[in-house]
Amino acid sequence: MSEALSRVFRDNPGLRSYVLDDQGRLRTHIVIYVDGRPVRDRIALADPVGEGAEIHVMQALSGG
Amino acid sequence: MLLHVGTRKGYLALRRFGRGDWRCERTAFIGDPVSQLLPDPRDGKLYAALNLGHFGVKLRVSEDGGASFSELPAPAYGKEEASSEKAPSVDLLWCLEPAGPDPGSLWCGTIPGGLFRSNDGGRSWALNEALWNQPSRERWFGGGYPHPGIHSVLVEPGGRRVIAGVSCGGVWISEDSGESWRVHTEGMFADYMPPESREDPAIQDPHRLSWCDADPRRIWCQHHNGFFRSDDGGVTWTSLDVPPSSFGFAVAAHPGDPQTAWSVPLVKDECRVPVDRRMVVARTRDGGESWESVGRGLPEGDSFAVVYRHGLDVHPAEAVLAMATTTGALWISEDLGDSWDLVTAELAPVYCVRFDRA
Repeated sequence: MSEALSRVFRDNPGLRSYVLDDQGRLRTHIVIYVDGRPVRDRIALADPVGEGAEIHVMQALSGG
Repeated sequence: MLLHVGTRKGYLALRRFGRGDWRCERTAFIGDPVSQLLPDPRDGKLYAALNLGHFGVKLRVSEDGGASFSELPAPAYGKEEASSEKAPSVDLLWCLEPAGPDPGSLWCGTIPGGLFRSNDGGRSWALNEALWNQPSRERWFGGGYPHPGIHSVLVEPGGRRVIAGVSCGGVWISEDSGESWRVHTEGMFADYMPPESREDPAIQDPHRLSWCDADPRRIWCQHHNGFFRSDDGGVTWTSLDVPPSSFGFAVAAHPGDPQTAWSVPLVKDECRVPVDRRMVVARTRDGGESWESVGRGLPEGDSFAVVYRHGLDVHPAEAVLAMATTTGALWISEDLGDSWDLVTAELAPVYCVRFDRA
């Protein structure tokens, strides 16, 4: 997961701080799905991502 | 005269056309919480700190008076080698101040307690390690937020003397532009703590610091336990009794008169509404020996308004006061607080008001 995100951030560096916090952890209200399953390791982002996997990066909706 | 306002739902700038006649000139970041603003008098830039919640804190700068903004990197902690849940990440950009005469030199106080410095107008930031590595920081704790934070940074014109207020972590003074720090809270106390910790400098909760531009030895501190004054540049503090309540968040020093200051009292301390739900401003004109409740024009009852730390400002030249509330009202006084004109009651909760000093 970490490697896949790094490739995206290489092309769009400004995106990084929107998805990850200062320590590279997934932000609290962001969730990433790999082929429909939420990633489990939110700290080191070590979940495996296979060739051709589909990744969704989503945020919770809240507030008012 | 121009006033910048940061709210939970965006930024607006209001210009004065006459007494009580302030008109919204510009808005930005509609829908986004604006935690702090710095209209920089040195180069005319306008910095805006945002808290996008899910997407973290962001920093924007405008070089055309707020017509357009570009994104800057926000202050951030270095990545620690071992990944963990406890390693720090910036939760809130809480105060932004010029760090000295050089345009582009900036201090940014944050939650969870890091003080960051930029020397290039926010294009890069460095954590002030000297303050972050203070051993007593272990005893700092959050007040109202999960983590401690730096909400006030006072900088003498040359930039060498710097005072940082931490909730909850005391008053820290540097005499060398932040290379070294000492905590100074002699005279402050916290009656709500265990007796052994009552006077511990590292747990004091100054809610806000404000000093007199003409005499920066005179500093006013709205503290969680009460109201304090320093006559020696923040080294020692004297407790003052402010009716109708010594509790509150905001404090403003008169820029030219060290005897005059304002606070906005609330019922202490978990209740936090105006005393008798009548909104007043407490004003002293004799250095804090006596206080009067002023505020003709403010709600005389049924008010739940809270003025946050950065919700009260004084124009540096004109001594015009701006005050804005969690209930979305913005008030202006042009007679040192005696009377107030309601500019609008329709804002989102207001985090900061700041006069343009250009």
